[in-house]
Amino acid sequence: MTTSNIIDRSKRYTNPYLSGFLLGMVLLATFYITGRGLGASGALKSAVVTTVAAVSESHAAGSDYYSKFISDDKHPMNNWLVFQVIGVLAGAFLSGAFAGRLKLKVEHSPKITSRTRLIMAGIGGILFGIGSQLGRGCTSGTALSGMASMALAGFIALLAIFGGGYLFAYFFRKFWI
Amino acid sequence: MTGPLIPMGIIGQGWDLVIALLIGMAFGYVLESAGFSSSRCFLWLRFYCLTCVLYSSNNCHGGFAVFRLYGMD
Repeated sequence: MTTSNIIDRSKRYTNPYLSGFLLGMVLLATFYITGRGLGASGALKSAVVTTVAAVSESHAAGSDYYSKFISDDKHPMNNWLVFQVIGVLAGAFLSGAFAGRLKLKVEHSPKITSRTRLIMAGIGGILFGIGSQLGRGCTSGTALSGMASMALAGFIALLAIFGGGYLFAYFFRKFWI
Repeated sequence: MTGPLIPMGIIGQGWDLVIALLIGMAFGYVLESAGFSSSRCFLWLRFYCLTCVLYSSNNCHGGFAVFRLYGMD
């Protein structure tokens, strides 16, 4: 599939420039209302802490890392980011439903199988999870929200994310084009 | 109007998680409608969208994003 084909397909979606503007407005509203930015990886961290505490409470309580997120008066899942991510899932579901895009499928390059696509997505997800902890946040938290508040780390993180993408795109392009 | 609304007590803390849910829904709705649910459209959209996010969020803050990321132009 050529680049122009991909662009034609994307016409079913909102104009990307308008989408970018709208995302910026959502981010601005978040800052104005709550005094904090958007995020995603923090919610997954809460889920991991909850899971570890459920499997081995003594291990979680004895860990310097996990114990920071566990207290008697507040459950780790009682967290702003957890509710925000639940909202993201609901909002995306509604958008897909309204546009008639709700369909279970595995999108992949014709050069690879669905299984390869899922394996690569898993590997990419693991690497992104590690990266988000090194950078203290993911694209939403560190890059978007960080840059919106003019944090230098946000600019560095985004440049690194895109720079890494440019560097490795050539080697892995057959997995998606 | 002075902000941020929740930390300043203009909106009660009890609404915090409800607002998190609503903001998340808006975020998810815009992301999906932009094509972020499609891994193939997503490749190009990240370049386009992030450019506009930078301009809209930074300019409204009174700050200014001095660089722009180009995708496939």
